[in-house]
Formats: sequence, C-alpha cells, structure tokens
Amino acid sequence: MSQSIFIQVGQCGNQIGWRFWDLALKEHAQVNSKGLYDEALSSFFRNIDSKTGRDVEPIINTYNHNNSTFIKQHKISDLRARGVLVDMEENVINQIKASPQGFLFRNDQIVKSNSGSGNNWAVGYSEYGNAFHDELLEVIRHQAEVCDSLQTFILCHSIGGGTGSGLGSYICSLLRDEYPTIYRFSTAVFPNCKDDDVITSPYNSLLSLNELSKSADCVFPLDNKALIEICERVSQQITKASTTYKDSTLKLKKANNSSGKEFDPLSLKVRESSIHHTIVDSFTKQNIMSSLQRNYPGEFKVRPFDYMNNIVSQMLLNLTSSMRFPGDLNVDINEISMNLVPFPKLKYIISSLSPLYTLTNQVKNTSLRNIDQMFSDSFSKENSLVKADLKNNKFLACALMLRGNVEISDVRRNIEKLKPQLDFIYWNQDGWKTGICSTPALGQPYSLLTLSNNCSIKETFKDMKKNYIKLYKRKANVHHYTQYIDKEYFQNALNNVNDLINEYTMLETAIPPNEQEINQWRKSILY
Amino acid sequence: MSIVVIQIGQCGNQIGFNFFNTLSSYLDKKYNISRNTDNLSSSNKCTEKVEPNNKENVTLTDVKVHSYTKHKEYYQRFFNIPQDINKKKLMKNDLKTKPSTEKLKARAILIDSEVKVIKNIIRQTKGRSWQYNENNIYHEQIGAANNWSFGYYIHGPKAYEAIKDRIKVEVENCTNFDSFLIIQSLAGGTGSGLGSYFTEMLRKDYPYSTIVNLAVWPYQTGEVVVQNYNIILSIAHLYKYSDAILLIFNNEFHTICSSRLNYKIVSFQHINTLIADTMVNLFLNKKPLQTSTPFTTNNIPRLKTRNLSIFQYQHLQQKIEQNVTMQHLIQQLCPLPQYKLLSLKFVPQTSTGMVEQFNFTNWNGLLRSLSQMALTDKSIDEKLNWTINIKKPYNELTNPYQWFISNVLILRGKSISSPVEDHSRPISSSIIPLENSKRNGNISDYYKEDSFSNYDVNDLKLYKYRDKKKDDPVELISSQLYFNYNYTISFPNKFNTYFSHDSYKYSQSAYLISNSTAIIPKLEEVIEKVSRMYSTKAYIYQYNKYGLSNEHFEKIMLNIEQSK
Ligand SMILES: Nc1nc2c(ncn2[C@@H]2O[C@H](COP(=O)(O)OP(=O)(O)OP(=O)(O)O)[C@@H](O)[C@H]2O)c(=O)[nH]1
Ligand SMILES: Nc1nc2c(ncn2[C@@H]2O[C@H](COP(=O)(O)OP(=O)(O)OP(=O)(O)O)[C@@H](O)[C@H]2O)c(=O)[nH]1
Ligand SMILES: [Mg+2]
Ligand SMILES: [Mg+2]
Repeated sequence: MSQSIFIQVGQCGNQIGWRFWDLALKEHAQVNSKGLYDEALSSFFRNIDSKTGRDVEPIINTYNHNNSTFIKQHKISDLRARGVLVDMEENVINQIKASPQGFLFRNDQIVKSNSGSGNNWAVGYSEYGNAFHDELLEVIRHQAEVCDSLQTFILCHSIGGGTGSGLGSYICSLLRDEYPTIYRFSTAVFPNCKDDDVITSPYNSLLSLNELSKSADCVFPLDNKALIEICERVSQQITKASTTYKDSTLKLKKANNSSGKEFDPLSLKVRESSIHHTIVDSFTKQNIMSSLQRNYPGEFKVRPFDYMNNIVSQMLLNLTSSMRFPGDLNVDINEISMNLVPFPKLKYIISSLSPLYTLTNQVKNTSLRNIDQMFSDSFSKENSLVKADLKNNKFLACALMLRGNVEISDVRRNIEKLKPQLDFIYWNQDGWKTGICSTPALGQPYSLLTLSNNCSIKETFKDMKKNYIKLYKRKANVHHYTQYIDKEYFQNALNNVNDLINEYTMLETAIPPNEQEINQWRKSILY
Repeated sequence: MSIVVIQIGQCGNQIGFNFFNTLSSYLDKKYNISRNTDNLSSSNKCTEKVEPNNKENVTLTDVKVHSYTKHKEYYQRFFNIPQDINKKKLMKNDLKTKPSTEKLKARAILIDSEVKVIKNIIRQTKGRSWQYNENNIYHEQIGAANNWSFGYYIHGPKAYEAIKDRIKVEVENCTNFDSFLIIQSLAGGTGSGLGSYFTEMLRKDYPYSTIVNLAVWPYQTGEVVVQNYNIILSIAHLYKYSDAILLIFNNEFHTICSSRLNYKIVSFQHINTLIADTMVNLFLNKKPLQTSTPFTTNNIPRLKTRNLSIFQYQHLQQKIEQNVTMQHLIQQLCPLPQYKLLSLKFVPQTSTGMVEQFNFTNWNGLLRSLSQMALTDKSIDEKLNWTINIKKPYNELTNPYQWFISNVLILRGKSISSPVEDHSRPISSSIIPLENSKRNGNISDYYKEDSFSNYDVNDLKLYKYRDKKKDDPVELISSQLYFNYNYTISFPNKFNTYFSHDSYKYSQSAYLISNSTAIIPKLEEVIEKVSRMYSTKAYIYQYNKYGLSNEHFEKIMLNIEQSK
C-alpha cells in the first residue's frame, strides 16, 4: 500500500487539515473495529511503538507454504499523522495541538513561526521560503523516510493569504525539485472573487497559480463562495427536516454513549476527539448543540469555517478512498492525473460532491431513484465546490468516484443517461473514468465524488484576472511585494493566467476535424 | 494436459479467482468430494494446530486426497494435487503424526501492481477446498495508473524478474504442460502493459509453448479515459507474441446479466461469475480419450473399406489423442498466424432456474440461435435479425454477415448421443471431435457430396443416429441448417465440434469460439478514437514519461491498420 503525506500550510490549510484528520480517523474507525493498524490506515497514519519509538508496520501477511495465510496483526499503539503542519503564525497550530486530535502531531512535523506573512505572497514565498528552506526539507524528509512507498504529497492551503499561498507555492516547487517522481496534488482554496476578506488576494492568488502551474501535478480549486452556499443550502434542508430527526439523532447519540463498547484504542481516541461528524452531523449539531452544550460545555465549540472545511475534508477522503480501501474497481491516486489531465498545463480539476446531506430516513433507502438522483445532482451547479457550470461547458474528461453501496450497473445506466446532456471534447467523447470503492463514507450509504476537467474553470481564472488588473492598475501595494521579489513575477503571473484562459477558450471552441482531415492525418503519420 | 494460469491486474485476478472457485466447486460436486471434509480441515484457521491424533480428520483428508488422485486428469488441468496418495501410503507412520491438511493448489501466478486486490482474493480463498500457492504472488505497492507504458516498461521487467522462477517451477511441475493462459484487461495499466510484457517474455523463454490471452475488452465508455490507447498498444504487442487472444467483452456479459439473466443490479461479481462459468465450459475439456475408444476393431474394417490410407488413420488417431488440449483448440481456431483475435458466443442465456422449471432448451433452438448470433455478431440471444441470411449474397447494408476463418463449437449436455455411449464405454464425459469440414468447402458442401472421401470417424455414429433422435445436435449440425457459414479463406478444419456429456449449470449448452470478421468494426472504432486523440497528442506525455516514444506508437498504429 502506498502512502501520502499531507502538508497543510497557513491558517486555512491547517484548519482544513484539522477537520481532515478528525474525519479520516473516524472513517477508519468505522471499518476498523478491532483497532488494528491495517494497511488502509497506514496510508495516512503512522503507528509508533511506544517502547522503541519506531514505526510499526501494518498487518503483515506471512505466507505459509502448506497452509493458509498467517496474519501477524498489530494493534494500534500510538497513531501519528503522516502530515506536516506549516504556519507562520502559531495560533492555529497551537489550537490543533491542544485539541483532541493533537495527539497525532509531534513537534518534528511542525514548522512554525510567530509573525505571519501579512497576506503578502512575496513574504511567504521569498522571505520565509528561504529562511525555512532547510527546516522544511528536513521535516518533510523525515516524514518521507518513514514511508515504504510514498506516492503523493497532498498540499492543502489557501492561495489568497500570504503563508498558504506564498510558502505553499514555495513548498510545491521544493517538492518538485526534491521528489520529482512523487505526485503533488494541491487542494487550493481560491479567494472569493466578489468580496474577499484579504485586499491583496488577487495578487496572491495569481502569483500562486503561476507557481502551481509549474510545480503541481493536479490542482483542486475550491471556492469559499461555493462552499458557503452549499452550507447554507444544507442548513436550510436540515431545518426543514422534521424534528423527529433531531430526536432520533439525540437518542442515537445517547445510545452510542451508553453502550459499553469493547475497549479499543482507535475508537477511544476517536471518541475523545470532537463530535464533528459528517457534513450532516455538523449541521444537525447546530440544532441540538444548545442542549448538548449544557451537558458537555466546551466540547462543541464550532469554529466559523468548520462546516466548510468538513466539506473539503470529505472531498479529500473520497478522493483517496479507493486507494485506501478495497473495491470492485480500484482507483489508485496516480490514475487521477493520468485520466483527467490530457496536457500537463490543464490540470485544474473541479470537484463536486453528492449527496450533500443524508437524512436518517433516507439512509437505508438505496433505491435506484436515489442513486440516479445522486449522479445527476453532482453535475448541477449547486454541488460543485468551485463555481462551475459543468453542463454548459466542454468537458475534457470526467471521473466518477463512487463509494458504498453502488454497482457497475448503476454506473453504466447513469453514464448513458448523462452522456447526451454533457458536452465532451471531440477527441475525448468517451472521457469517463470510474472507480468503485466498497467502503462507504461516514454516515452515507453511498456517495459520489465527481471530478471534472471542464472548461468552465476559465471563468474563475477570468475573475481572478479581472480583480488582479483592477488592483494592479493602481499599482496598489506592489511595492510591498517588490521588496522581496522581482517585478517579473507579476508579469509572469499575468502571462500564465492569460495562457490558461486562452487554452481553455481554444478547447471550448475547437472544431472537430472532418472525416477527411482525420484520414489524411492518419495516412500522414502512417505512411 | 496442464495449463498454467497467469492472472494480471485487478481484472485478471478477480476473474481468475472466480474461475478457480467455480472450477473447484464444480469438480468437487461432480466427484462427490464432500464439502464437509473441506470445512473440517479448513475451518481451523491455523490448521497445523489440528490435534495429531484426530483420526477422523486423517481419514477424511485421506479420502479427499484419494478422490483428487482418482480424478487426477480432471483436477490436474488447472490444479496441483497436494500429495500423491501412493506416496502417502508409503509414509503411513508419518501420516499419523502429521495429518495432511493440504488443499488443492491452483496452478496460477498472481500479479498486480497494487496489493489490495490480491489481498482480497487471498482472504476469500480461506475456507475453500483450494488455495493459491502463495509463493506465486507478486505485487508492487503502487498501481500502474492505467498507463500501458508504466505497466510495460516499469512494472513489467521488475515483476517478470521476480516471478519467472516460479513460472518455471509451475511449468516443470506439470506432468504434461499444455499452455499458458494469461487473464488480463485491455484497459488497465497493469493488465494491458504488464500483460504485454509478460506475453513477450514468455514467448522468449518458452518459444514453443502455446500462449493464450484471455483479454477483457472494456465497456465502450466510462471506465478508463485512455483505454483506447491501451487497447491498441496491447493488441499490437499480444499479436506479435501470443498464439490466440480470446476477447471477453464486458458490455456483452453485462447485457446478458441484465437483460437475459434479469439481474436488476449487475455487479462485477455477477459478470465475473458468468465469465467463470463460460471458462469452465470452454477449458475444462476432459482427459484425452483413449485411442481405442472410437477405433475399436469393429470400426477399423469399415474404415478400411473406405480406403482410408494408413497415414490418414494415424492422423485421425493422433487427433483424437490430443483433441482436447488448448493447443489443439488453438490450432483449430488460428490456422493462420495473422488472424488470432477470437470472439465467443454462447447459449442458453437464461437463469438456471428458468431452464429447470420449464425445460426451455432444446438443441434445435439453441443451435439455431447460436448460429444466427455468430452470423450477425450478436452476443445476446434476443431480437436476432433473422433476415440476414447466408444464402443471399453479401450486402453491406441489407445483408451484412460475418465471414469466418474458423470456428470451434463445444456442446455440453446429457442428451448428446455419442459413439462412446454406443460402445458402452464407461467414460461419462468426453469431448470428441464430431466432424471436420472438407478441405475447402464448408459443412454444407460436405454433406452435399455423397462420397465419403473425407471420411471422419464420427460419421459412423452420425448416420447411425440420424433417424433415431429428433433433437440430436449431431444430426442438426449435419443437416446443414446451422453454422452453414462462409469462410474468408480456404483452409481445412474450419469448423470443429466437440461435445461432452458433462453439463455444467445447464442441461444443454453450446459455446462457439470464432475467428471471424466480427472483430473488425470494434477495432476500427478504437483506431478511429485513438486517431482523434492522438492527433492532438492528448495524454501522450504521460506515456512518453515511462519510455514509450511517439515513433513506436505510430508504428504500432500502422501495424494494427495493416493487420485488420
Ligand atoms: N475554506 C476555508 N477558507 C479559509 C479558512 N481560513 C481562511 N480561509 C480563506 O483563506 C484566505 C486567507 O488565507 P489564510 O489561510 O487565512 O492566510 P495564511 O495562509 O495564514 O497567510 P497569512 O495569514 O497572511 O500569514 C481567505 O480567502 C479566507 O477566506 C478556512 O478555515 N476554511
Ligand atoms: N469483467 C470484469 N472486468 C473488470 C473487472 N475489474 C476490472 N475490470 C475491467 O478492467 C478494466 C480496468 O482494468 P483493471 O484490471 O482494473 O486495471 P489493472 O490491470 O489493475 O491496471 P491498473 O489499475 O491501471 O494498474 C476496465 O475495463 C474494467 O471494466 C472485473 O472484475 N471483471
Ligand atoms: Mg495566517
Ligand atoms: Mg489496478
């Protein structure tokens, strides 16, 4: 089994990471009831022998000649995240360390400072990049060394602030130079194009985009506006849902608490950690929180971004589920860029989740209608984690990553149904990729993560460019940057975004060559 | 005659596992090898801990191994039998102290670039009467990313180097090595790339062996974006080194499951079970017949009167001896080295329950459908186009039918009359070549002529039964109603029938493997798509990354175009 190292940079990256580790633990606890350190768990977590301080291997099958397989099993002793926490402010990292998930991180996987990047990309990239170069390498190398087959770095950061965007970009190119064969995926929170809380975010994001264009294998843009809208919609749905649901969850929770479950280290640790659960849970909690807070004060503090970050975490978990858990049609993480990135430059993947919420009365209802609904929902504007109009723009490729109670016939049926509604580029009319993972997501019997390489992403780039030009025309704040970086960076960043917009526009308008041309071309290469 | 199976990639391993599983339960049931015995010995997770003086266990195991040995010919085709009963008797004392708990071992090599799939099937073999030899497993940690190039250039050499000694051991263990059967998908990186590499290396290391690839053709859309690249690359490579490529079309099996077997939800498990059933029927041809069977002294005088030269006689004899090997099948199917893509049709396609209840099938109906299915290249026994007719002239629009290079028909069912029965031989399940067509005509020509110059042993019984039974396949085929095909080239042995009394699942079933023009439109579609994609060089950079050059790719396109 291959491993991934999760690198969270800046406030946003760390806050998302926090939710990610919490949900990841819970997801594994759900299927790993014996508290064993299995291979699935090993892809994101280390297991440390408390006596020797060394890494313990996951379950090893020793094959025995004349008989069935012997299994040497290791209990979970001391779990550690395969993560690197980077922030130039201490605040969030300290909170994480003090939280129920804090046990996952030790100081040797943390790089921090205490002054922040002041929302200045150049400070993060140049100043901190150079200053922390060695320390970063050392910390990452340490994590890489304890992997027996490292496959991916997952970088999680915002590109609107200073640290996540600047230092995050720096780390990405550092990884490209030091680990050229390891995949680099970036989950990047793009600034809200209408009204972001950071004035300089247009600069920061374009500068980051330029760096990521060069050094990441795949970028998953996330848009806070889209995330907020999802949250609001879900919240409305939940409120609409009957009070019986509230009662039943309450009962359920109480029952869970009282049931004298067998002791096991993993679930214990999970129970210790906070109760943000699935997307649903975090909302129902809103309703039931007041009552719970009275009983368990302090435990249910909800930070402002938590709902949104749960959604992002769920996306990351679904993205990697097929690599961690078995299924009928496995998708290793390297298959994602293989199938979705036809040209190295066009690597911006739009992600959509469905269903976004599951009500308890629906949980057991796995009727075909619900499953079909899940498929069609995931192509609607509402379900996408970044502003995107998938249906009215050209697809370069599309991947359906299914989890849970879904079979190949469900996929076939829905692809046939969706095909006429979606516009695929002429040279990739069958540009579909499917994965089926049998382990469901937390609290959802079945779920779908749709990954699209779709031309509508160029709208995001256009907005970014517009905001950038608005700011740059006044040369606002530019001098704060040129203290640290060459002016050329600005020009290059602009060129890069223009390039991307052009590429996608060209594909959008590409006319398929006619039969004759194809035949001619065929002959020309053949004879 | 033993076959070494090599299962590659997720698809290859999942299908391979289902195949061995189906095969073993079929054989065990057939030879009454009690499930209980197996459960008893295997339910103890760590069987070595079984009490040494557990006498019951000893005897049961003893019986089991004995049964394996007794029916060696059947088991040995795909399994290694744990220990010879004779050997065990010699070491009787030993036996008491250490009861044999060994199970049948599948003669298979398992290869994947990731661990989850193989792990999963190993887990599933627990508690079954057979197991994989766990020395024969090789896996990497990181998948081949659906990238042929990755599988071929990176994983291929490493994996082959690591496992080639095990392949050698398996081949040497065979009392009578027949062929390699490689199970793979054409769409995944491991199946296609590593599968191509293995086929190439096996050809190098075993130049005279028969290599058959069972290759799963992906659904037209929806699984792997770069599947068409992978198909082209692997077909081109397999074409060079393999003896025959039997194509399994996922969408065909899927449709059979959904529209004929009426599964509301079709999972890969359903599809794989159906594929496994089919494979058992195709490959489990039974032990070679004793030559004496059809050639009793009674027959020889009759043969002589037909002026059969001694050479011909020997030829016939020889053929009957080797009739059931994979080698033999492939010789029949691929008479010309430049045509080796095989496709498969079979009937019946109803759920077993239906068949039992209504006794749906009769040979006439089955063969009628099967014949038309092959002619019109329809894999599903439903809504067949009966207007297409071989008797009318070929017309691309109004009367398009397939042309054939060769066909092999395998019939299974109790109601088949056979010379074996006739000679009251105690062999219950035998596959016997029914007939061969004349030098360059098809069957119909053959029967039009009244002379018996191209005499075949089966003609004897063929005529004998002609009037006896109405629904006799032998008669049906000979009556030139069905399988009255056109052949694209003149070559002998274009149509061969084998039959066996031994039926599996259905009381009557028929399988037709064809080497025909049916594959051309499918290949053309893929080439078309590849051309489109390649004209923009989309995705090619990822193939280049692991060593595939554009020149090589273009050369392959050329080869494929030419081989159509
Ligand atoms: N989705 C989400 N977005 C966040 C979160 N925290 C901050 N953001 C967004 O990230 C951007 C600001 O970047 P931060 O991550 O706060 O900045 P930083 O990387 O810590 O850099 P400095 O604070 O300048 O050192 C804004 O667009 C915020 O809307 C979070 O927890 N979740
Ligand atoms: N019939 C059938 N087809 C399968 C099965 N599993 C995968 N496939 C098909 O195989 C193709 C995908 O190839 P895989 O075998 O999964 O890939 P792989 O050989 O493991 O290669 P990589 O995963 O790319 O390293 C698709 O066309 C699937 O439809 C199965 O169990 N049964
Ligand atoms: Mg900050
Ligand atoms: Mg695979």
